[in-house]
Amino acid sequence: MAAGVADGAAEATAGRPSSAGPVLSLRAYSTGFDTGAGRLTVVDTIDLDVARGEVIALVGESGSGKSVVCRSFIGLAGANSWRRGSASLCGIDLMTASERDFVRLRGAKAAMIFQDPVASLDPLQSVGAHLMATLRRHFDLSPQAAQDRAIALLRQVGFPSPEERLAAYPHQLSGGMSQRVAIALALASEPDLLIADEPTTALDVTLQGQVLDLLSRLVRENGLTLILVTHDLGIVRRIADRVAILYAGRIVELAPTAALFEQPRHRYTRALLDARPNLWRPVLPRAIHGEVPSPWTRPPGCAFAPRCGHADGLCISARPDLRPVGASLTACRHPVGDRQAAPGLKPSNGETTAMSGEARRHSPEGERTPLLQIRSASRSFRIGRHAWFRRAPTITAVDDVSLQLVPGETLGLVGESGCGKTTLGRLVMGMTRLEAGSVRIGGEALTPGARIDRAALACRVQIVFQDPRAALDPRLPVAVQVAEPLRVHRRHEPAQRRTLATRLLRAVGIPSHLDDALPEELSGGQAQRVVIARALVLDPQLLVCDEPTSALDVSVQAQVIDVLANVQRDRGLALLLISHDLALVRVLARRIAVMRGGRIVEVGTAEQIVERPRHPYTRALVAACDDGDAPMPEARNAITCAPGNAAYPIAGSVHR
Amino acid sequence: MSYAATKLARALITGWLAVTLVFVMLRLSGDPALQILGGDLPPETLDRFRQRLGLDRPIWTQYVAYWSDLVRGDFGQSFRDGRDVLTVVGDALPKTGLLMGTGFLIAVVIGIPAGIIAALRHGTGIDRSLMIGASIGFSVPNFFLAIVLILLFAMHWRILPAGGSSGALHLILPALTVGTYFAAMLARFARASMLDVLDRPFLDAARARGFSAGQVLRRHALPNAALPTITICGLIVGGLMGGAAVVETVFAWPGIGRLLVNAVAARDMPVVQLIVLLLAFTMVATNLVVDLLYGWIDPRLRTGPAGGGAR
Repeated sequence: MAAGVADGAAEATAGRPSSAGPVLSLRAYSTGFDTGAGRLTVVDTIDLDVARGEVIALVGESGSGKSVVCRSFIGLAGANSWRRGSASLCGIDLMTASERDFVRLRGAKAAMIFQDPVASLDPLQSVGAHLMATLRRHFDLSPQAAQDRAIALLRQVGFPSPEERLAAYPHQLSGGMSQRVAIALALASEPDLLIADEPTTALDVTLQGQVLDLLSRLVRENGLTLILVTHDLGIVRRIADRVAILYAGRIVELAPTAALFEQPRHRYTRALLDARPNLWRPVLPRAIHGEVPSPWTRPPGCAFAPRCGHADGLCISARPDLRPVGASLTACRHPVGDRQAAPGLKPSNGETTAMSGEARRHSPEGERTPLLQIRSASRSFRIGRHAWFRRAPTITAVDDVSLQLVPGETLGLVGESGCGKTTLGRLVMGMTRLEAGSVRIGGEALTPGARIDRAALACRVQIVFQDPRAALDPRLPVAVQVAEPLRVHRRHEPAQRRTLATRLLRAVGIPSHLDDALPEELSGGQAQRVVIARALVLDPQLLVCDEPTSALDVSVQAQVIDVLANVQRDRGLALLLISHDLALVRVLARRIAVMRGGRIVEVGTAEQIVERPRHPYTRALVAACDDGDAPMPEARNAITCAPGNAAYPIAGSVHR
Repeated sequence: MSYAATKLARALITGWLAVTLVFVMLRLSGDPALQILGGDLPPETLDRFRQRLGLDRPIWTQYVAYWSDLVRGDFGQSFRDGRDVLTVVGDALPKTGLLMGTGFLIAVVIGIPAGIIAALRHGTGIDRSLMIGASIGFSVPNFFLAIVLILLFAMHWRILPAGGSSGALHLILPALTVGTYFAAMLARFARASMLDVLDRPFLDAARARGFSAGQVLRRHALPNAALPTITICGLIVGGLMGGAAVVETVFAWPGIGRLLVNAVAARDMPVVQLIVLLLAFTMVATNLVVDLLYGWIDPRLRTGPAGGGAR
């Protein structure tokens, strides 16, 4: 094994920009947890060197071990975790470090930024208290000096008037502002290494760009080294120098960012890139069949082999080591060759244009009677508590919105959190009361004050929610749940109901042995397909999909997109696709409506919205969703002028 | 309206409702003349008695008189011995205060650390034994524990007195009885709220900034876990006065609990009324204190929602 380690050491340095001593060095490093059911290995024998001043991205899906490895080497993985191999930070051996040593190292050498910025601040302490305590923990400062330093830090992370922010409490900050505070806190101790664990995942797309820009500026200015842990290949391209792709606890590919995107070598990397909907290429992303293995059920050979079209017997039985291929190090026995066409230029065979079928079959919408017609719909909510002798402040979630949808059409509804897109979907479903305007679906009309005939409405409109696990009853077998709407609406005989349900389950790609499974036995992607089957069983005319892929891993998102595209094509179903992800909507929808602050700011064909956006907000959104694979330099700057997110309030207009 | 002023206004309204409810209940419970004097007296005697108490006047006049008496601090005389009710209750109140204060102190000193330790050692033998102890303390009825304690310490070992209130030794058994129950209750709640807080990401974030586990516990975990625990403490303080009846009776402790039991038995309405008013006042006052403490600890209550205040 000693030889292997030495090889790993030589290989792990390949493709690194600088040759200075590494800030972090992991050798044959494994980590995991001791559980009641035995010893679990989450990260399995990885080698990684992180050079001073570089930005390295650890990319992986859930269960890949990307977060665990970072928490583990600084001793934050929890009392039941174990580590093996060797790890050193700034030359200090981490394997022999005691908790006391870790307390000295954390902050001073390596600081961390977490995924949920709001939850990573103590709600009872002000921003100033957080900062000053951290500063005084690491440096011998007077209270006044600590306060001055805290103000300087807040200014550095982009607060225009930092003096006022010191007294603010976390609940008074938006997500973007909280993440800036969290970054300031991480910088306060002047670490050598900054670990950012999904720093933008909980943020809106337009804020993601700001936080990434901030991080890369800080790295440059402060000579920091950054480990960016993420599932999102899109943000990697913007900021990272090198990328390590993790799959099932192993590094499967390690390459300079440009090389990785230009010519991925590992079959998984290639598949992962193809599985992402591309903003500039309205073709269906290629689904990777199967599911991400859990740490309990990892295959013995190459972990990706069961899902790989190129795998042979040796791939399945023997684990490949990292070896250089082109500019990359890759652990693949059948790496993608140089001659294969560069990605993103032309659709390879097997890819179908999602909306072309629809576009061919349907004439322009003006000639058909609309299936869904929303006229001047409005809905507002009270926010906060009712005060005495004063009306509670309200927020207009949907403000005078008009939209229409013809049968068989897919309309994308795009906007950031709090823009009112979900409320609009709920209005269409009759799940929330209209305050003004009308919603007409087929012959049925919903108006303010009118009684809603839910049974009739449910036969016309169905919904697919974001979190499939929450949308399924955990105690009912899958086929029973899919058949349930038929029972509720007294359609067909019991035996026939089951036949219909299983037929739909086959149609969405659920194998028959899972018919009697409980939802907990399904993966996220399977659960979402069951939810789609259940929504289809009443044969509705309109399907409302509210963020249908947001809760899923990248490699299975494409499966769900595939199912939706098929459903739409085969059944002539109309889809109202609600999402924050412009690229996803672009792939499925012919028309896109952009929503902000309760209003529709722009409607147009998908092509026009993406390629020729008119409204400044649409331009900002396109720029934010752009992963850097299209020429749109002027749009990219549109959003960066907004400090904090003052220019983009959490939701619509607030009346107090 | 500021947070504290809102809470104060609410307490005043609750207080007024409670006082009015006491008035209504005592008049709904039957004719005091018949209850006190019995039914076999001549009607003139009963009428004279009603006149003397003002029971013959219209109900709203009685209500106004009731309030004006309350405001003047005139709670009437005990039916039993004619002493001023204020003196009767005033003599018993410090005794109950001493007993319940000690009991509460025992509950806090034992219960909260036990809960915190159990949460920090979650899933270990320490956690389990502490929680088993808490379950027993919580489920054994007060009077039963009292009798067991008397049997052991007063009858078997003869080291502590079984009743009375003449010295510090007399305090031990009743205070232990009260304290055990509430310590068990506090331990369970302190553990639950601590476990809740220990999962929150800001604790890991603080450790990642270089604070030791102890510092994180003191600076972040305990203050956050304190919030729900304070609510329980408020309920306990309110419940202590009400729960006094049983313990004081068993240990012959001359506090207001025992006084209440005796006064009800003797149909001594003025005494009952004052004690019930006192209980209501305690409840309202502790709730107000809890609310104000909350506001002091939790900035989310003091300051406006997102976007307000500091913007």
